[in-house]
Amino acid sequence: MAVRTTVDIPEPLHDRLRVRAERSGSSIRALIIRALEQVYSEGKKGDYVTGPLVTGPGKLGPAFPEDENPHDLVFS
Amino acid sequence: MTSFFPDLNVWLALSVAGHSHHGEAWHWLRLLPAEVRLIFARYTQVGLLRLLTNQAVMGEQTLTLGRAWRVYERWMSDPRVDFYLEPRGIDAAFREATAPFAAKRASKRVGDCYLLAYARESHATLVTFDSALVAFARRHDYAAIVPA
Repeated sequence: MAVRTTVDIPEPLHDRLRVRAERSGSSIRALIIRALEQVYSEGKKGDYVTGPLVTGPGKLGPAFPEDENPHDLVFS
Repeated sequence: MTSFFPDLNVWLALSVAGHSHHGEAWHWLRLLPAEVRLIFARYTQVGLLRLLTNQAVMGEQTLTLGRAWRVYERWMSDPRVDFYLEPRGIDAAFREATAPFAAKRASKRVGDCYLLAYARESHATLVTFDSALVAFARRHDYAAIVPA
């Protein structure tokens, strides 16, 4: 069953949706539903994580960060 | 609902048993009420995957990318954890967060400021072990805590 709703969409965004729908042979409605499903899809939830997930016995590396965020490692 | 935005070092401390702040991170998490929300952003998602698979970081415990994804997915299966896309006001908030460093060479702060802006625009409290970042956040009216 579908629920009818009315939403004000900024005009530039609506124009982009219209163009995208025309190019893809789809409809604005289909694009909006697909986008909402992607953003707000409920992933399957299970139990709480109750402990660390990486518990190996080996030594950690020399660049293992402690306090600061290792931004350089993330973007390197 | 109260939302927390753990930064990269907190996700790492929660995920890796050998992290020096592992105990504090888990103590904090275990004391949270059930209805809180823990947010993953694209930045912290990518960062966790990168660090877990980086040998300079993880040494003998370096994960394959497949195993790193499973760590992330296990977090995402926790009912308290959600992934949020970038909030709408992030661009202006990010620019505003970096303003105090405009006259400085402060490349490390770029990432920190993004995290602060993301937290504010997501109506969440940044959670970090970086005490300098928390001090900066509090001086500039951002919500930030150190897990303890």
